Amino acid sequence: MGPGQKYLLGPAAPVQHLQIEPASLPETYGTRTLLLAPRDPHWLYAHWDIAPQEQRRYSAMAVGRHLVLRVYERAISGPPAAEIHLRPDARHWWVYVPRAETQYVADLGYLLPGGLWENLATSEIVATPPDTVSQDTKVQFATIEPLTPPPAAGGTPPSGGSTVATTEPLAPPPAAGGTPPPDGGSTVAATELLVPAPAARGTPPSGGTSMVATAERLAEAPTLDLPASPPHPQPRLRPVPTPPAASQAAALAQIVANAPLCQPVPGSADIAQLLEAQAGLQLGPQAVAESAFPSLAGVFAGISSPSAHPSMGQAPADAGGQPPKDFWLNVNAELVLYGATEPDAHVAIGGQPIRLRPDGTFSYRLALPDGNYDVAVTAVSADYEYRQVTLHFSRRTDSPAFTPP
Amino acid sequence: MPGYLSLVLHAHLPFVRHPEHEKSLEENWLFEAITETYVPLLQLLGRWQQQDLNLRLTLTLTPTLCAMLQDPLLCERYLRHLDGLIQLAEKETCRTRWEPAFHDLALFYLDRFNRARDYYLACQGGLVAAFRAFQDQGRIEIITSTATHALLPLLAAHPPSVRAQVLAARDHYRACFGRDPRGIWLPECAYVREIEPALLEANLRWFIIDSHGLLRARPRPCFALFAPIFTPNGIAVFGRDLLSARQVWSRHEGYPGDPSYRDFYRDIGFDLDFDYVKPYLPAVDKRGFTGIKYHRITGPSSHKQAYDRKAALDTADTHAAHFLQARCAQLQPLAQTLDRPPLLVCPYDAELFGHWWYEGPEFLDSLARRATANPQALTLITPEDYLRRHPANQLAAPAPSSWGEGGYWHVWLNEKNQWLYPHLHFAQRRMTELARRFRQPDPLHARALTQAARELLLAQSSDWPFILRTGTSPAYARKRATDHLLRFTALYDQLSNGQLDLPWLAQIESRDNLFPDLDYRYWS
Repeated sequence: MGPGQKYLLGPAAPVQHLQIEPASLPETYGTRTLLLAPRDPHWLYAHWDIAPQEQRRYSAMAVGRHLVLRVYERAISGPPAAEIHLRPDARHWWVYVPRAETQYVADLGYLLPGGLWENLATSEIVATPPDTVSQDTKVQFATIEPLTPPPAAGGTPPSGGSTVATTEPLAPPPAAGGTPPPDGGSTVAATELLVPAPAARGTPPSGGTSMVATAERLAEAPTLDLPASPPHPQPRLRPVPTPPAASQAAALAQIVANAPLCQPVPGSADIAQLLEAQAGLQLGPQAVAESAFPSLAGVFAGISSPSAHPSMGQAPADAGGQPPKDFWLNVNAELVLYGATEPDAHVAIGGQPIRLRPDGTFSYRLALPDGNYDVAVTAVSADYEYRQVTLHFSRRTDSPAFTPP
Repeated sequence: MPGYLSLVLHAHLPFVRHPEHEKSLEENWLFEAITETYVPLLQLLGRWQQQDLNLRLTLTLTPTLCAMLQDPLLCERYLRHLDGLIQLAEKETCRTRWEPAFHDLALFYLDRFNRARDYYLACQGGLVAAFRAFQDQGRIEIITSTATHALLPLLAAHPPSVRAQVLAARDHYRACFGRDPRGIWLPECAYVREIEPALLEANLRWFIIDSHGLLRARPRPCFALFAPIFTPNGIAVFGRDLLSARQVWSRHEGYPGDPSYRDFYRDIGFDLDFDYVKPYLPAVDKRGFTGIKYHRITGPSSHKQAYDRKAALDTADTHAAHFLQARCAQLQPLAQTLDRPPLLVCPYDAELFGHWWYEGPEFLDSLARRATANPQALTLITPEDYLRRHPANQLAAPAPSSWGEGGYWHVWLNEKNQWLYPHLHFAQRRMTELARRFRQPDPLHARALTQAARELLLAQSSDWPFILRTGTSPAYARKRATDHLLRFTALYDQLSNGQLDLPWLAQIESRDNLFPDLDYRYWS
């Protein structure tokens, strides 16, 4: 039994197919809840689980006969950051919010005559991601204890490590329970998360140290038996002296100045989006789908040329990838050689042995480009009798200019 | 030594297994990847081992991919598929005898398929074990991902779901590789801070995010992308290098679009007589890819020239040299600025190399050989190696981010797939409700609970909303997500009313059979 074999279940499925599960997903779960999810720094997705008939009933009582979605910063108070008057049949909404790196909460309800707000559901608080580089340039370095020593086999690490010096105190970690706070803000003391530096045999608390020493000490640690590691290990951060980061940051900013640093780089999903349309022009989405991995579906339409292929089921395209408007015709030709002999004979076509079917018959295709061809079919029986047949072929393709009748 | 280069290949396919059908179009995703990527990669590792080339490569093998590679039904079907390919290639060597350029290629494919078959049989179909052996020898480092490649930020509102995805992946990794994973590939590099408790519980020490996620960390990382940071929880975070990503991924500038490379879409499954290729097509009633392709990209016109294998390999070698030169040029000024050797982290989808970019494995081979031949230029390293050599890193909180379009969750939460999100939301809560209600179930109820957990994991796969977004096979993705949710709902109802349907349970157990030792209590 090899690795992982115990995880194998039987390969065979029951022959009979049983259909127990419901035919479709429920329209509602009857919870009257409001889901809110950030999609990016400026868009939230809101969905409310309210039965359509119930929603119609509430809408009928509302001013304007529709529900309203209000989105607030941090808490439901003050003027909302967004207020959407919903279509009567809407079950979800995409909400634009102005501020990245901000907490939002949503309220679903409706307005009664007189301006009174009737709440139906309130979402959890969510946070939008930041969309800018932090202005906080405080630098704090730390190391983790314990680090796992190198594996038993493998590469020899080259020499590494440098001597560094402390320049800054610990940077505060982000606030617990929400978005990282604005630069400089902190509600959790760094020392709550960081293990104090040991007094001996390690990095001195300040004033410069050699990281080589730390690395060497860690490399000397006894080999851990990984499966026996504690069930809930917690890496322990230990502050170490910090390199003179300010000057480095400035130099790095210069080095990477030509790159759009904070523009997302294409990935498989992204390129799929960019090229999927082109792939569709070539083979149609279905054709792409048939052999396209989900992770890269359509990604490398660019690996092909942007034009279509003159395959048998496909119209050629112009250089821009657009299907031609003109009528088109692709023609090609192949030969099919077929025959039969004793089932135990050895047959070759043009000197190349071929397989016979159990009854001694055979058939083989040959592409037939323009030209003249001779092909010899030979057969040798089990008692070494020999037969040969030579066939002669010629193909010429004429493609005269089309003349309308 | 100016700096480090860390190549990370992410191998993943969604769990696709259809014993209810004799032939399944989507199972071909796995078969093509085995022939064109996984086996060539293993063969490459084998050559490096024979020549004692010490190349440090990081590889993700996702739990769903491992489960499929170990599944007897899929292994048997793969061999049948490969036998069909060999038969087709044999026919092609005869059919193309009057087309010399194609004839040579037919012989090439026949040889290649036979070699793949020999390798597969030699390791008895145990590709996961083969990768494990290379890790045990210290040749590669294998990291895990989430159980079914769920996009964790969209589960973050339900911590038990994040926990279950991570711990189930950790458990599966242990079973496959006999050790704990140290790194995790966050699906789509998608990160939010709320996932960290689960990573800590699984003792996962590092992951990779996209460049903007690192550059927007709070406070600002002083080494930009060229060194990892530690989150306040002590997990190391590496940022994807911008320039090397574009050099490979970009359609206009990327290497894979070179005219001399093999044209992916020009396949005899589309070119030749339908009756001739029909027995070898992924689906019986429609044209599709066979894997035999005779043309090179050539250029923008519709005329395609025959693929010249030698010229393509020469190009791959040239591109590898260019890639290496570009990285060295990138590292040189950084090395003079940083107080430590700068690091470039270059993650790619593994299936790019071989399947989409046919010459990709040869590119990797050339790149690795050139890098090891010139150690003064740069050093190939894994992120884990880096942390051992440079255990002190800056503390900062990375920014929520993903790779891909928009840089956040737009691909997996948009108008085409948003319908899925609420159903997952309620199923997740129901799973936790079940896990808390059934603390000590009898064996039958335990089976039902475990199967409910499996169905939920499968429904959470990021592949379904991704496919719905890209539109490549939306009907299949919709059906898969819906089927798993429906099965989960039926199990929830049966467990709630105390009436288990055992024949049906056995049926879905045999169909969705991954993670047999899954612990449903992770959701409690």
